[in-house]
Parts: sequence; C-alpha cells; structure tokens
Amino acid sequence: MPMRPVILPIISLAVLLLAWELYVWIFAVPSYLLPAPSAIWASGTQIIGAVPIHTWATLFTVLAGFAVSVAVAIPLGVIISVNRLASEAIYPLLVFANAIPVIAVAPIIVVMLGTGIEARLVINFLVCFFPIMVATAAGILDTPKDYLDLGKSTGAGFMTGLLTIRMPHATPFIFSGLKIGITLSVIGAVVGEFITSNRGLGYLIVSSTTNFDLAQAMFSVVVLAFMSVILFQIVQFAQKLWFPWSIKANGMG
Amino acid sequence: MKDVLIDRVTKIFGADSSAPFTALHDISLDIKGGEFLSLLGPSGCGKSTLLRCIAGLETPTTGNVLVGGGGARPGFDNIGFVFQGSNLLPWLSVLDNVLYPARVKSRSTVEQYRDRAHELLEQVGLSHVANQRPESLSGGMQQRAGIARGLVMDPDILLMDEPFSALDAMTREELQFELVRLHQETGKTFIFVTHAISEAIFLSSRIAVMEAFPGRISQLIDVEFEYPRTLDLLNSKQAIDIDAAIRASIYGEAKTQAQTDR
Repeated sequence: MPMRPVILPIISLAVLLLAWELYVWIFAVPSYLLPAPSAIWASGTQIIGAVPIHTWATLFTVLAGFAVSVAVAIPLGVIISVNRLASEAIYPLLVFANAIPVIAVAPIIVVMLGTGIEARLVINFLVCFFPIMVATAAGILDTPKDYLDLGKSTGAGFMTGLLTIRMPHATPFIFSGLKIGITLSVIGAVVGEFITSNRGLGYLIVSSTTNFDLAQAMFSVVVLAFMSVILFQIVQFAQKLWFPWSIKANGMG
Repeated sequence: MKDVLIDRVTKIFGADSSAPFTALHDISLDIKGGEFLSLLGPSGCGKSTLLRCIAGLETPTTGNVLVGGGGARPGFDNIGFVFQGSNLLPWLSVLDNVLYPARVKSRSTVEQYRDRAHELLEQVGLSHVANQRPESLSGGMQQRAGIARGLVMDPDILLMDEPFSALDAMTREELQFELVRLHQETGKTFIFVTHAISEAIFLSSRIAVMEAFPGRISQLIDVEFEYPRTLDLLNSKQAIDIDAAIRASIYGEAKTQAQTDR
C-alpha cells in the first residue's frame, strides 16, 4: 500500500496545527477567544472522565434516530417510486417537511414532546430521513427497462421483481443516501442536544461556551467530528462487506 | 414440440395519442416445433416487437399469439428469452444469473435446477467462471451466459432479440456455430431476430423477411441446407440467390418508399 496518501494529509494537518499554535503564542490571543491546539488537548485530558458519558449519549441519539429514519425512509422511498398515487399524494408534503429548517421547529417539538429522548429522535429523524428516502426512490426508478423485462419474461410478480431486481439495483443509491444520512444524523443529534439535554456532546458545547471555556467546546467538536467520520466509514465498510458489487456501480466509493 | 401461431397481430403504439405508430400490421405466421426461424428486416420493421409479443412482453393491439395452443403469458415456462445486451444482473454470479428464472419461481426451484444450470454452463463453456460476476466476463461470454439463462427452465421455445449485435465479428461467428449446435442438440424451436442477412441464412431453416412502415412480413424463405452447417454454404449459388431475394425485398421496397415520399 502506498504511504503517500496517508502521510501527506498528516503533514498538512501538523503544519496547520503548528501555525495555529504559533499564532496564538506570538500574538498572545486569550484562550476565551481562540485556544491553542495544546490548550484544547489539555482541556480534553481534564474532562476525559466525563467524555465517554457525553459521547455515548450523543451516539445513542445518532444511532437510534438513524435507525428510525432508515426504517421509515426506505419503505417510503419504495412506495413513492412504485406507486404514482402515493407519490402524488405525499411527495410534495415530504418536500415541504424537508424544507422547514429543523432548528426552527426544534423548540416547538420540545414543547410538544417534552425534554426526553422522544423529542431528540423526532428532530434527528426530520434531518436525516429525506436524503435516504430520495436516494431509495431514485435507485428504484433508475432500474433499466431490460432488467424489468427480464423479470416480466420470467414471470416475476410485483414483490419478486421488487426484491430480486429493483431493490438490488437501488442498493448503491441507497448507500449513497445512508452515507449522507448518518452524517446528518450527527448534526440532528447535536441540534437536539442544543435545545434540550443535560448530557451529550451538544450539551457539553453549550455549557462550555456559556462559561467561555472554548478549549473544552472545541475538544467536544473534535470528538463529534471523529464520531461522524467513523460512522461514515462503518456504513462504507458495511457496503463493501455485504454488497461489494455495488461499490463500482455508481462510481462513489 | 409446441407450435407458435401468430394470428392477425397488429400492434399500435400510442393508439389513443395524436401520433399513433403502427409497429406491426396484420401479421399471421405459423412457426412449427423445432424450427429455426429468423425475423429479418431493417430497423423499424417491428421484428423485435413481434418477438416481444410472442414472449408476452407486449400485448398485441388486435390479434392473438398462441403458444402450444395456449396464450403466451409472461413467465410462460415454455419460453426462454435472450436479450440484445446480455442483460445479466451485475449483483448475481454467472451461475445465479443462469438460475434467475428458477429464482423467480421460488428458492426451492433454484435447488432443483442447480445441476441443470451447471450442465448448461458446461455446454456453453463457462463452467470455470460460474462463480464470478458478469462484469469480469467478455461480451461473448456474457452472451453465452444469457443463452444458458434462456434455456435453464428447459423451454420449448427460445426467443432471441439480436443477441449477437453487440459482439465483434469473430466472437459472433463462434457463437453462431454454437447456436446451431445447441439447436441441433436440443431440438427446440428457436426464433431469432436479426438485421444481418448472412447470419439469418447461416442459422435459419426459415427466414421471415419484414418491412417497415407499417411492420409486416413481406417474404417467407425456406433455407434448405442440411445441419450441421459450415460457413462455405454462404458462397453457394443457392445462398447467393436467397441473399439477392432478401436484398431485393428490403432495398427495392425502400427505394419505392423514398420515391413516394418525394
């Protein structure tokens, strides 16, 4: 394996962090305006005991919200792609629902559902179901006519055709949607925690900034970023593991 | 062996639109069991549409297609279909692609036909790639797998829609030989759509020459060469006469068409 693609970005990052560190040090920027990377690291080591609890709280919202979104979005995507009536009846509403800025409705949802996990799940769902649904529908609709003819010529009924032709063909599309969805799910979870929570990385950011503890807030952001990247990689890995043929199909690894 | 009876079939696309297109006009044809019939004609003559009507992929606007006394229905076990592109599903192995028609029935049917699928892959020389995915195969190999898939349910009739049109000339010749061999070995009815005159002469026991606007059969030509055939037959007096008759039928008509247009 060539090392260059691994080493180069690490060097760029190191240079960037060093420049940042020097800037803060040379101009003596106070840490409540811009903490140096070393300060962020130090702050992280101070709260390291509490980090797993907050990370887990956020991760739970991310995964639960993502699971609910997938469970709703994929069947919904199938329905709107194969049924004209359903598509005409509900698709405009879904577009409209997606157009509402979630941050704007989040406080309303909290009033309606309380400050528990339910509100956060709904907020999360609103952010991440749409791309998964649209990707599913696009994949189903993209099925080549020849494949459908093959099904027809062998006597495949609707369900058989859906399961053996349309869904497999839609798989690479669905995974594109899932990769966008899991990333949005992290955003959704943080928005939920901003509005209502006493735990989670989103909560940690809000409570740190209230105390002008930017180092701690930034450390939380770094943890969030890592979470997001790792989750994305897990989705990608699942695709490689279970649907290896779908990787090349849409040219997006 | 089942006959195919095409009885006054007319197919109009967009019949209720402002610009209806008559793809097939009043076509009647009786195809006997075990025959190798080619549907030959220029593009737009409706040869593929006629084949799709036999397969049940299109429904005639008027008229009937009867297969072995019953109506052709999609998924009729009596019919295998070979597509123009190989049309293999990229997510299945070559073996599973060949078994796809069995999979459509049920998972247990797949097990019943597994041995037969292996046999067919052996017959078309693909045993060694049975577990690979189609994308790793050459065009010729893909089309061989497509033919094996068409034969897997042991249909009486194999329909082929320009199966070799995307292949290079040499692969194409190779597959023509194999197809004639398969026809002899299986004794099935082969119905073959093509726009290549020499291909039709080399393969078929009978050629239905079609014309366009509206699509219809202009000539039925018996090709009385013995099987197995060699490519030499294309140089014989008889083959040259058939070739000339077909060209006259197709191009002669096209010229008349051009003149009336003017």
